Amino acid sequence: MAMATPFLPPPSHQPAEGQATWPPPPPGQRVDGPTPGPLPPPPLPSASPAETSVSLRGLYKRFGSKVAVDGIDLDIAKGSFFGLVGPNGAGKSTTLSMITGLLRPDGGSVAIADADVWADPVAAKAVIGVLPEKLLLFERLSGAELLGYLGRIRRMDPAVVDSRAEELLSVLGLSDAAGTLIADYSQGMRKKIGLAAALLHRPEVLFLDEPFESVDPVSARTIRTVLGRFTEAGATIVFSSHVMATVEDLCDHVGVMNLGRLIAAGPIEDVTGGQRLDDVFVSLIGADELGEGSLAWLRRSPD
Amino acid sequence: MVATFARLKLAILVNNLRKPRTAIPLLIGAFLGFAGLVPLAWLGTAALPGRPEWIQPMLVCAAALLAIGWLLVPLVVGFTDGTVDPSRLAPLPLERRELVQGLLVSSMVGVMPVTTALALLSVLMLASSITSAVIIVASISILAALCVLLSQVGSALLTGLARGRVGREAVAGILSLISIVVAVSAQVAAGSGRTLSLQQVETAAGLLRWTPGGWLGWGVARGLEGELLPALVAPLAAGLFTIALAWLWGVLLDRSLTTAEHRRSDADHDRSRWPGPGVLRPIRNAGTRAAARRAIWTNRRDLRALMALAGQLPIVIALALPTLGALARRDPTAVLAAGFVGFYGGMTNANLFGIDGAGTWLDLTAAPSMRSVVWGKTIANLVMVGPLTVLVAVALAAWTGGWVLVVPALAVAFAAYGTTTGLQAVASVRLPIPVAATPNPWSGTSSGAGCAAGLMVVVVMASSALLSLPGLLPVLIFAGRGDLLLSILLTPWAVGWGLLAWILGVRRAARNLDRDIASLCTSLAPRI
Repeated sequence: MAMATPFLPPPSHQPAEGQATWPPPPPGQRVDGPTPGPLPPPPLPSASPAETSVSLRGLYKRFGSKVAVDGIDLDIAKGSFFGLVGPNGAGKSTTLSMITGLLRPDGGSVAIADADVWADPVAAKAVIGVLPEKLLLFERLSGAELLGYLGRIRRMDPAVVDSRAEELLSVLGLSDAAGTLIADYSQGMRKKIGLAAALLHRPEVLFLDEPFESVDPVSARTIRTVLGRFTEAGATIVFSSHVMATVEDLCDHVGVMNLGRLIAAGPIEDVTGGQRLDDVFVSLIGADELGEGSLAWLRRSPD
Repeated sequence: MVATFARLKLAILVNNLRKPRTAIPLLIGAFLGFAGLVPLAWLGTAALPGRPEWIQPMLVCAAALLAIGWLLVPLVVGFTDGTVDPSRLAPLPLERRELVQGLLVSSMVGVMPVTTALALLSVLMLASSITSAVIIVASISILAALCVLLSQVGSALLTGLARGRVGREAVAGILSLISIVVAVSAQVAAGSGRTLSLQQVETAAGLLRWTPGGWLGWGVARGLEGELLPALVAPLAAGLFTIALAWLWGVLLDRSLTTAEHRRSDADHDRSRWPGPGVLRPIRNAGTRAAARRAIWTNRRDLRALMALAGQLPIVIALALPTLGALARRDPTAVLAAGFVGFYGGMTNANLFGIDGAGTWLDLTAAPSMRSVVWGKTIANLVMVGPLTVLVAVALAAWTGGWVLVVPALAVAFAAYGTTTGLQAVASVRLPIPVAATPNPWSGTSSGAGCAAGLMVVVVMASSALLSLPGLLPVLIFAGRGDLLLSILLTPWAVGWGLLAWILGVRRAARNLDRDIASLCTSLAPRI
């Protein structure tokens, strides 16, 4: 499973403004820099590069005047189950898209298993599996056909593709829908076939963007089991979510993003400091409390 | 790898037929639209050996025009083949070269490329030796690849240019200009086609010889004359040009697949101004206003919508060309030509729901009624085309002095708009054509969609023209006779006719939607 020291600091890491600070500021207050507090910051142990699975340096992306990702430095160790959390618009999906070679960054670099994603995208994409938020599939293929063609395009042995596809469809409860066109799949089924496509080639690192969205509880449990087995085999999983309970339940490491910055990252117990993740998250992000008078019109008058 | 791509394309095309409601008409439309090309090519080529002096100019013109057609027609009609959408392959470890080769081969599987290939094979009839047959086959292969690449690179280039709003509007403007040039050229060619002389064809060939398609035609012709050097050099040059195009396509694909356009937030959306709210103020229904506002917003910012507007232009301009004579003579009745703008406005209501795609359900379920959605969308186009109609009428009146005919001209325009809109509304619901939601606005969701869309434009246009005649003719006839007063008095008839056709069409479309929204949404869901 996870290594003891999965969050690896970049060499000569200096937290950028508003980045990776501890302790979290009071609710409603923006992070402006490291602040002394009652709890010690999460440990930032050193590790050899060989233990690093994913490495980001100064990752930066701007859309027009909006800075979506503001210079992220992060190392994720091999075998870890890393959860990237943050409010809507924090930059999680943009970050994952840049890590997986789907969105060109304006600055910085990404390395996966020693392959520079943007200098050698083919090598990087060969060792990763991706389940993006906006799942683009060939809608006019059946589930079985999709896996078959994706495996062949990845130059896998057709016999291996077919046997793995059959097993994945069976485990994910899609055997009965193997011949159904993906256009006719429900959202949950689409997520599952997307996951099957991401796992088919047994990637070293799996990136999942909101994998449990629109998935029913039974399927969610199946997916958790599959992901658990995947990390047991030494693979790395990076996934984004805004459901804290899921992250707390699944991940051994967590990174918290807000306004395009990574404001905390490390082993989950170090980031939470014994508190619940959602409490820590709210205190890190700062949430406006709903005033007493807000939305008063929603209350029914006692008749 | 290329075989896998070809099989992938075939599988998607075959699976498309599992939904016969839209797939079969698309396929039939595609064949109807292009099947005529094959016998035409074979009959034409069969006649060439008897007239050897025609061989070289004809081959040059045919090859060059075919390549130019593959470049321009998909841009104007709004569909290139995007069945194997590259954005779905973005997470895979494919070298740029492999992706381009795979997409190129998959693009050659489909109705239009197969039809083109069958037509091109007719040139084999001219082969007199094995050497010339080899040259012909090589040239045909290069020409087929060139055609497909021109089509894909053209749309990819424009997609890159159209990332910003200014770029989108500039691209729409440029393509409209190209459409006008193509329409005028086609009209001129059709007019002079009856007396097409060898000299004219040679003159055209002299120009077209400098295009890559022309090189190939020229090379084949020289090869048939027994001159091996030009027969080898020409396909070599065209082949190198094709490789360069493939490389450019790879670069553009790479860029488009890894570059996201900044999505404007809802707040930005709300702040954005749209033209002419006052025009719609009398419409009390909030759902209609909302649908109209959304349609105008889409039309101004979505290149696919702008291209749909531009795509109707050449046909309408071609129809309006005969009035040029009256305009040149400063005949006051030329003001009535403003009616063509109304006709154009009605045509822009084609495929009302195609661009909304899977999002159609949101519009339809959130709206207070189906009728309000159809009204809103059709009113939106009137808001956009109305001022243009007035402008054209006033400009024509200023040029010819026919100010008294401005009102009849506007009535004629409204009658044409209403009738065409009514028909388009029904056609939009009964036979929607999904427009792919990909970064490339010219990307069709299935092979044959472009041909079917083009065919539908022609059919609806012809039907609309016929249907609008009872409303237009009384005004036009009396204006033509010089009985201007009667012509003006008959304007309420023309307006009423247009309004009636519009109302009936909207009601019919809304009734269809009320009965079966699911079918429309299913037809429009992304199906690639």
